[in-house]
Amino acid sequence: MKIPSPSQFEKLAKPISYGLLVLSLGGLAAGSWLALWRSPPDYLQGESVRMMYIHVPSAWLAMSLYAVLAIAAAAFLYKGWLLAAVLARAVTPIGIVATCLTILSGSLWGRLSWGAYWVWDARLTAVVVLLFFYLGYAALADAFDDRRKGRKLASVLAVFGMINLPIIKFSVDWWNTLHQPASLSKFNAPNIDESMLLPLLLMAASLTAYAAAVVLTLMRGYLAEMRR
Amino acid sequence: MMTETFIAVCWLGGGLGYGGLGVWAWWKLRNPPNPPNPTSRVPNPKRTNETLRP
Repeated sequence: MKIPSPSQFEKLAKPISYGLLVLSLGGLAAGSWLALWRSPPDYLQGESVRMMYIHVPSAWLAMSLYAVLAIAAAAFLYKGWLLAAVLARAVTPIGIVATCLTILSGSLWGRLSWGAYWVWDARLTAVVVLLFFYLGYAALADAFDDRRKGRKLASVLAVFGMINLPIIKFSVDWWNTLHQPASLSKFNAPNIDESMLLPLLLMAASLTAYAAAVVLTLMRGYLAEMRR
Repeated sequence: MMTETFIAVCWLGGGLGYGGLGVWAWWKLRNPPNPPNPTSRVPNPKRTNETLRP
């Protein structure tokens, strides 16, 4: 398998990141309008369901970015690709922001739904562990004067942290949790009305495109830093 | 009232968090950090000896 060289990557990344940015900002504006003004309140939760449109896309993003981080880290360990290490490093900041927003929005939503900002539920605890893996990766990657050594140790931690992803995903099925089970599944029809599903999917897709634009910009920044 | 406030906090947090990160990424690309000043580096004793050796 051939991956692009850093200079080839930079030529490709610039127009792609600008295109993704424009698309994502349009999608986020439309998604926010649908989520806040057009979608109906939930029959049980009322208006508080609108937190779902930030909470769920952030949670999906936090988990999928960690999968990207771990795969890139594994590629760096196995093949020694510099671009993979740069990708892993660039994914980390937005992964941290997405995880923090998942916890913040979930905590506020929990206060309205359960009457408590926080419970040591399996799903919630596993997401906090995810945040620690992100922070651990960022801290280790920059902890050594020898950057390569730092990247290697951080990559080992990132690959080990993959174990947490199925725990987050299936925690609501494996244990008796306060957090609700998944409303969307690949195998069943969604348990959510179309009027709510459309803004949710639009917000998730736009946020993913925005995250990709930020990651590409950060990768270009890190590559420029290395050249100096 | 509490519900509306929490929804506003979520959206504001999202805007500031994701938006702020995007601005930081763009700023970082435009202003990469300066390389360390070579004169401020502690000399490597091995290398110094090698260069001084006749």
